Amino acid sequence: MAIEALNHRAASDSASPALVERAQSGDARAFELLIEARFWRLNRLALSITTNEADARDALQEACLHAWRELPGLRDPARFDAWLWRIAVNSCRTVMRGRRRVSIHEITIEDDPSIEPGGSGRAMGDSLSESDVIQRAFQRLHPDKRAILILHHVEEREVGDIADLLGIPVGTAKWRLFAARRALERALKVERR
Amino acid sequence: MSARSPLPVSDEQIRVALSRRPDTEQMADDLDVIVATVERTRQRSRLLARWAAGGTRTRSVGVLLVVVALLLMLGVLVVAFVGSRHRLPPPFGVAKPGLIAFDLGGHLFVANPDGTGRQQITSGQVLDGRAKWSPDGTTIAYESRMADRSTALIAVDAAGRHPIVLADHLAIIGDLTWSPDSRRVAFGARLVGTEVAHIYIADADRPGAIELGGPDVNGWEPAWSPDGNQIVFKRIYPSLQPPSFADGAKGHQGGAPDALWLIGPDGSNLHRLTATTGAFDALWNTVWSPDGKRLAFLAAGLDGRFDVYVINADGTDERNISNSPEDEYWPSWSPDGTRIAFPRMSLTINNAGSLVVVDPDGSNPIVLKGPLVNSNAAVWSPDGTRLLGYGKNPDTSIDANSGIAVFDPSGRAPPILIPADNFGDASWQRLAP
Repeated sequence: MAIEALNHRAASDSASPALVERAQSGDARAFELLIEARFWRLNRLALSITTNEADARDALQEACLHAWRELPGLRDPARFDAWLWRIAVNSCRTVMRGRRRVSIHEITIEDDPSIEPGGSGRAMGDSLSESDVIQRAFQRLHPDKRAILILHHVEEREVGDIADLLGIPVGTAKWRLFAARRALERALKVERR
Repeated sequence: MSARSPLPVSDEQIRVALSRRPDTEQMADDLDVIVATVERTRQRSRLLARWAAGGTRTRSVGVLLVVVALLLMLGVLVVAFVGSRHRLPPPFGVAKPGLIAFDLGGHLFVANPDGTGRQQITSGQVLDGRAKWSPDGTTIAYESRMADRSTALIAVDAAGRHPIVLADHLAIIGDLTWSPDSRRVAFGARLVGTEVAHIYIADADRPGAIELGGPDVNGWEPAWSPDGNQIVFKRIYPSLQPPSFADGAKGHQGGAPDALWLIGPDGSNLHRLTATTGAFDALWNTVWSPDGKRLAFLAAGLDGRFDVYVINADGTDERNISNSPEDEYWPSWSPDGTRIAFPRMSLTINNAGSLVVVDPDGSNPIVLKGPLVNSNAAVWSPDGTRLLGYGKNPDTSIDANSGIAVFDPSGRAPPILIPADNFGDASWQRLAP
């Protein structure tokens, strides 16, 4: 697959209902085209939420396979993108939750400030940029909070869009976004001590 | 306050910090893997996929349908399970009549109320008697006279299986009473080598009994209240000898007279109930009304004859309801609590009389015609339609039961006598209506 082609298709976000219907009827090539067009953004989403390439890869593979298997159940082909993004976000949350469970005995960043959970090996004594501090604070958050922050601040989706994508009321989406933002600010305060 | 607020961060700072640019070369490899996997994977059928991955409303409706289906299945299973189990009657009040348990020749039997289907449920060299069904109709507790002449209290199931010795090495044991939940038994007993009787409580499913009320509470013939919170008993004062079949009953020898007392099953709230006192056979077999508001008991009246009394559970309105020249003996409440039956002994025939049925205040008496009975307490059928008396043959001087006399408590239907020479105390099994 050509990298240029992937990047080019990343700019396109609208799915052809006819292509979706072909994929729904079992046309694997049609599904590949749908995924290719969105793969860069899906990767950015997964990588931003998980902050880890391996986790992002696992989450995306699981999301795409799930989407392929369940695609015949999609009633409205025009809603393919929202449907796919919901699957991707849920897949990232699932991977992150699983990671939490198995890493319950690992040393936390609160316990040992010399260890950076991102894996860069950089010590606290080093000079950190504001982006580094924000990333470290972000990694302290629950996967659900990470997901909604990424959808809003990176994907630049409106609250109504997020509510539709996550399948929750708009009011709930607003509250969750506010709570995630506050949680990030509290985590920033800790990181800046 | 402001110094404690989180430091602000702009949306742009967040966007820049959290946006990750994927490694495009790695991305291409990942997509190839996904494509290869998809080509090897079959899609789910449209119907199943629509349910699993469709809209929230579709999934909610599907979940609702599944939940309803599961609840229906659960309901069917519960009904089937409950239906397959032996249903239990409520501990007091009207119930369906089951088998009659009684002792005959030193062994326990159960039989249908008409005398058919008689089955022996205990055997051996010991003498078994005074069987009493638990309120739920599943267990029989009875006394067993051992070869060493001591007595044991034993519980068995309805078929006489799985015996549990609740207490043993007793010199004598009085009538027992079941707790309303059928899990415990209270009884008065005197231990071998001791001179006074105490009230004991035993769990019905394991050996061992505990003394109730401490060493100063000498008692006899307890009866558990329908709500399970109180036990009435005849308090015997230390200066008096406890009753004993072996020793022969002994009356007052000085000291305070016997009276009925109440005590909690945990030994708490001990207090006197009756003003009326009694000795000898009086104050035994006190019975609670099914609603637990009143008690009926036997005591000696002013004329020195035995009479039946009724008293409120709070100790008020104590009254003699059977004033007569004859002796009346142990009363029993009908299952619905509207009538009381007791034997009234003849002044001319030795230990023989008739059953009398009255309202709880002594009004509307009916003397049941038919076979003579002895002084034992009559046994109501759990549905209240029949009354079982202990038939007494007037032609013999032997003070023994001659059969089971079954009466209509209203006196309308003629009684029947089921021959059973020398049968002992009977107890009627209660079943779920």
